[in-house]
Amino acid sequence: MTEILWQEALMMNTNKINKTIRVNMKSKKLIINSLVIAVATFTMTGCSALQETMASQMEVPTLENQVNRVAIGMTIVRENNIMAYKIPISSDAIWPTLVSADIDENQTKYIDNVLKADPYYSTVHYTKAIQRKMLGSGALMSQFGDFGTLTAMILDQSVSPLAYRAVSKISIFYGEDAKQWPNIFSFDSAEGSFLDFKNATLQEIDSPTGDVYETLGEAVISLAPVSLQKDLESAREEMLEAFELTASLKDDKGEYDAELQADAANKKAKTKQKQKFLTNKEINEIKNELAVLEERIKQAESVADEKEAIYFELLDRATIALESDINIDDEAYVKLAKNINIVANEIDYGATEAYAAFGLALTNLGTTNAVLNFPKELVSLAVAKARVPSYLQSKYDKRVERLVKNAIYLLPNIFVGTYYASKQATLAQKYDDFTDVILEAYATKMEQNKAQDAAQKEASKKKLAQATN
Amino acid sequence: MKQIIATIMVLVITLLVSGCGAGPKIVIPSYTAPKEAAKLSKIETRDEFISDGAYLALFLSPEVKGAKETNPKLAQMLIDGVKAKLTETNFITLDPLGGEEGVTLSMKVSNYEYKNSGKKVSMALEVTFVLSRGVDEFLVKKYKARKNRQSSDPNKLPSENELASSAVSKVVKYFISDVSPLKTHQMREFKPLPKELKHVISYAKRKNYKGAIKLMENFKGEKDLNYHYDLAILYEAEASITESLKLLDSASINYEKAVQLGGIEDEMVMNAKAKFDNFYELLNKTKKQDKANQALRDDRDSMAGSSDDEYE
Repeated sequence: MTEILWQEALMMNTNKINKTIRVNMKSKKLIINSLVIAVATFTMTGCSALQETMASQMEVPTLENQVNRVAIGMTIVRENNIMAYKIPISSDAIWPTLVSADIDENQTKYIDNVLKADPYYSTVHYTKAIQRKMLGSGALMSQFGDFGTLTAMILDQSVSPLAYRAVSKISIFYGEDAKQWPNIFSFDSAEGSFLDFKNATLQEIDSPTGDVYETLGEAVISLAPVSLQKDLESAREEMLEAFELTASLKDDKGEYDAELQADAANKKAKTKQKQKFLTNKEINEIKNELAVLEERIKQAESVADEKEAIYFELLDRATIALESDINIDDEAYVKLAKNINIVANEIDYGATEAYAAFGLALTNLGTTNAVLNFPKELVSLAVAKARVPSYLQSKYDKRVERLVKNAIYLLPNIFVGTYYASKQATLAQKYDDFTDVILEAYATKMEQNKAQDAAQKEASKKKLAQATN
Repeated sequence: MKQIIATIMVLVITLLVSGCGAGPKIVIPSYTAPKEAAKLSKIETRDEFISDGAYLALFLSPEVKGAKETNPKLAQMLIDGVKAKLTETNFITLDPLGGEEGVTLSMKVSNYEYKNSGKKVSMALEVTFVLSRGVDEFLVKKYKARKNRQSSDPNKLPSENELASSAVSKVVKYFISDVSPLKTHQMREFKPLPKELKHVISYAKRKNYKGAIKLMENFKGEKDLNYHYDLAILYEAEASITESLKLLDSASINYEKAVQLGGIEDEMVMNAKAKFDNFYELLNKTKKQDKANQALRDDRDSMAGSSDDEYE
């Protein structure tokens, strides 16, 4: 089984990905890309994305590391989608605070422990040394010359900083029981259901005192001046309907793509088992369907973009109108604004993390020759297999199987993921601007009340002192 | 290549070193404008025996259709809610007697649904508000409110009446904001002042706008755009608390001076002035209307008094 998978990988992935990489990547561009990612990361986010950049320069330059990095990027984009469109929110929901909090030592240990069950994380310790020996170290470690390998072994992290944050959010959305979690390394297709985790149910939120809103958008609209709420609601509904239509068309396209790819893989694998292959006529029919679908997707995307622009325009108007009607006497209203603001910031931050993950993967693919070296990487995995204990052998096979499957969708997922991350960042910034008006007014009011109280206390003290004298 | 790197470095340093220099801010009370302003003329009542001008008054029909069948407390909640919101500004007054010539507000519960499934409670409320004079129903509006609460501990969840009260507040606010100004808040940002006036902001931060105005009025230095703009804000803030039309006029004069001194090119000045102009008009209207409405209240009081005397 594993042998077949390696053959597939050698034939399909190397050729397919090499072509794209060779054409698109020039060394100068890559250096600038890396710089831009580093600068953007430094200026736009806190530590995790920057740590990821450093970590990527210390790790063994494998295609697998980039595949996993893209999986984490996709996980972040999907988590952003949950926060923006799936999980209910209220003024007393605690998940916004939890997702934005730093990860402490206990959580780190918990995540490490959970990831021990994963095919990659459970076996990576057995393969890393051999792979480092056969494939070398990352760019940063190479600067250390002879000491590079040793330094890399000491500093290198198996679970990246972005992975910790992504997995931590999964535990908040789906509960502490990892059996209830979706598989974050599942790359079924590049476009079909890209934004959704499969086979997992979100946890219920606790909200006894604040109204529960099904989505972040509904909560935002509830804070808008009453006169604009109806327009905002209908614009948002139309936008979501347009998104839904686009997603369903992409789902259909994903299914056709997968059918063609599976057929190509089956034909190339040349297994002895009898299999039913697609005929040329069937392939042409599917290709025709795909061409029609692509055109329909283009049209649907253009409509969705237009609907989104209308919704954003109304949100901008609502932000201006809000400046003249800030309801800061209602504590629940302010608390809801605070929660939305935290989530908007977290989505924006997540989008930057996703950019960093996709950007680093793309850059590393070019700078490290990971694609060209993929055959060598597979050989290194074959060599390392002997070191993996027998009780982990099945997991090891799953790891290779997953790598081969996910490598096919690596580049499309980077591009699709970057597109969605950019959409999410724009939405989050609108919600952030909107709620900032309320929060700034509330903070100013509190500051004024505090100063007024202090002045009154001071005046009373003086009066008392004068009376005593 | 070097140029690109240098540009990026400069960009980073600029981003890190510079900050957005926003000035100090204060929150001031304000009014929202009624959304159905065009319908207000229909509420106006002229009665030469009561007042020279037109007054805005509503007779609140005590019967709330559909309330008894759903929640016996709902009718009182709606009536109390309307009274509380209307008296926030007294732009429209309540006429306890009503009459054939007057305007009546009738309410009807069009939908009431309460669900309790242990860990989740929800309420859907829809109320129709009807404003009529005689048989002419000139404003009919429906408002909905939905309330959802959930908790793993059912004891923490609100009761049916608590949810109903919260839903009623929402629909009443929606309706009253259609026909009357409502109290709200706005923010104003100060511009930098000369060092002789550095205490002005401290006074303003303590809501001592009167003291801040005094400091400004005693200033002997150059009175530029910033001076008049900040003074306008202080007058506006004090006027919004005391609802004094005289202070509001002083604010208006200073905004005008700030505009004349170059404020017309300044986004911050024009934004604040635009908001002020709305407030200026609304407060003027509200105060004038309140005065006109007072004649009706006095008339009703005297009627109540005379009937007491007669009884005695």
